[in-house]
Amino acid sequence: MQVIQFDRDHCTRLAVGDAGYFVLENQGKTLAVPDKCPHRGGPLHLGQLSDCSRKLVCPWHDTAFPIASLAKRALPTLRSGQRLTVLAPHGPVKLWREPLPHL
Amino acid sequence: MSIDAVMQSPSTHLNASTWSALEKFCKSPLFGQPAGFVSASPYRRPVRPQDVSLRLLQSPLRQDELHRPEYLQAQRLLMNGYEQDLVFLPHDDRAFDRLDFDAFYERDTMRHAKFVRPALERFTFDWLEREVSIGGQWSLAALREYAGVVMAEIATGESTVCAALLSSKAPRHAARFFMVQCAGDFLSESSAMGRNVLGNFGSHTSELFKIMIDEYGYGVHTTKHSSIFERLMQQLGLSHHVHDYWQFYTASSLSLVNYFHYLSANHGNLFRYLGALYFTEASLAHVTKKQSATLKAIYGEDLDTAYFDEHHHIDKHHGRMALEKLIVPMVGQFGESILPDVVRGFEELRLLQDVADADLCRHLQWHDALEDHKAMAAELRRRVTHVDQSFEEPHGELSVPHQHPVDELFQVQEGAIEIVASPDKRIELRAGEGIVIPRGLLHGSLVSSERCRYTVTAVEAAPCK
Repeated sequence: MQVIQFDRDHCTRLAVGDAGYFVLENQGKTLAVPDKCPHRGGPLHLGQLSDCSRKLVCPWHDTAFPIASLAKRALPTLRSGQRLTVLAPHGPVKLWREPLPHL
Repeated sequence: MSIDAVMQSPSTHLNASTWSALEKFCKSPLFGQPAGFVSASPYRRPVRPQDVSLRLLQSPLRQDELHRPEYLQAQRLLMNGYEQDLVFLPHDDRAFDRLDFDAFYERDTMRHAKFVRPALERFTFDWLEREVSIGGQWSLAALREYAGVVMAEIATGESTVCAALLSSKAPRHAARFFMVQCAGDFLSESSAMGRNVLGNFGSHTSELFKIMIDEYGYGVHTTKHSSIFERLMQQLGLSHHVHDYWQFYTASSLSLVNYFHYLSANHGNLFRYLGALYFTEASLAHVTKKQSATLKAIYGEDLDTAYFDEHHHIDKHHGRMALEKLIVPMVGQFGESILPDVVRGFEELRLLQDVADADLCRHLQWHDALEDHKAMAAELRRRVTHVDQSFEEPHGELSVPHQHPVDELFQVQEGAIEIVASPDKRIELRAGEGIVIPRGLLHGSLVSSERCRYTVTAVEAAPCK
């Protein structure tokens, strides 16, 4: 396991080895969620929040996932002010920023 | 704003009865106007009631509002309430004032404190909930990895406080002010922890008690950690009596003690408490080594730094015990679902400590630069033509140390007054002189002439940001 730290303004996406993740902020909680939709592997990071703001809707098949369920698949994450810390498996790390529809 | 307006505001989280309790709590004679800046009683704890405003009834503070006067007053009030649960008696040569003792533990004062406490806790600590977010699936491996990185940073990084002490223009004054900030905690050390060794939570109770045994010196009073700290205070020429320097505790110093009371007085926060305990014990093992070396560099090798040396040794064990003997077994018994609370306590205390360290450095910088701020006032006076408030006070009038939400230009029109920044640092201002007081920095005043007329005006000018 490795500790990855970055400024939340500078990064919305990360990859550890072949696995991609995206930053999801909801109801004051910050999560690092796998970017592949559990349904058919769609780009979940490009999903929109549902009207109730409690679900994320995958753009491929409109499958809505409760954020509480996504949190169970998320990496251990800690935000203190602007600093974001993610605990991830060992592997090469890539961080980058891209606009996400739900942020 | 009127009390009726506040009560009708949707953001109000209190009701009229809570406001009434707050007013009555503040009216304890022990919390009113003092005779001097240094107390001679563990019960006399001024709160400057004029700063206890309806703001306390409104929404909780944000992190960028911690320089507000209400924050300091709320921290003072909280500590007064929490410490009514502890026993304080004067010792050594200090006389016992039975009337003050009875007043401090008076039934109605305690009732009002208990009633208003949740509101004060929300006001002072809710910002941590917003600043710290814990997400995802935490495991023990993740906690170990994260804590290891944090502790390595603390062990190898520079201590900003030690650097500020060593680079001060008056290192001994700076060190004494640092000790004063520690005194609010260390002279009754581990008392908040004591709240959590009561009850019965199986073998964990005894593991926590083992840490307590060290803190309390195995029943030998001279080895009790607070006793060791008393001796350090005496060596530095400071009073070793509990809360003699009450008025000089900064809000951020008070917040560190109150946070532990907040967690341990509300037992639903037990797992969060364990995270905070782990952070403080594990980090102190590193920090105290640097503090010991810093004090010896300032006062010489003959200074007995046993207090910091003892913590450098025993807190290595306490950090390990907090993790391996408390957190790990509890996760085994209650599951990983307790880990977000543990991580939250760890990180919240870390954040509070960072805030306190930065605040202490700002205060030390201000103490070194009082003359510079006096010169700055002379410069500003040419540009600032208006006045926000005027005061006229008689000889001996004392203003309990407080803080302002904005930088302030303080100008004396007639007479003379002392601005008191610490037990060691004060500056006299005479008619025609002034000083810029940066926002959020503790200061009091004492009229030194027969009468004094002065004005205060909000400005944006101070360099101690």
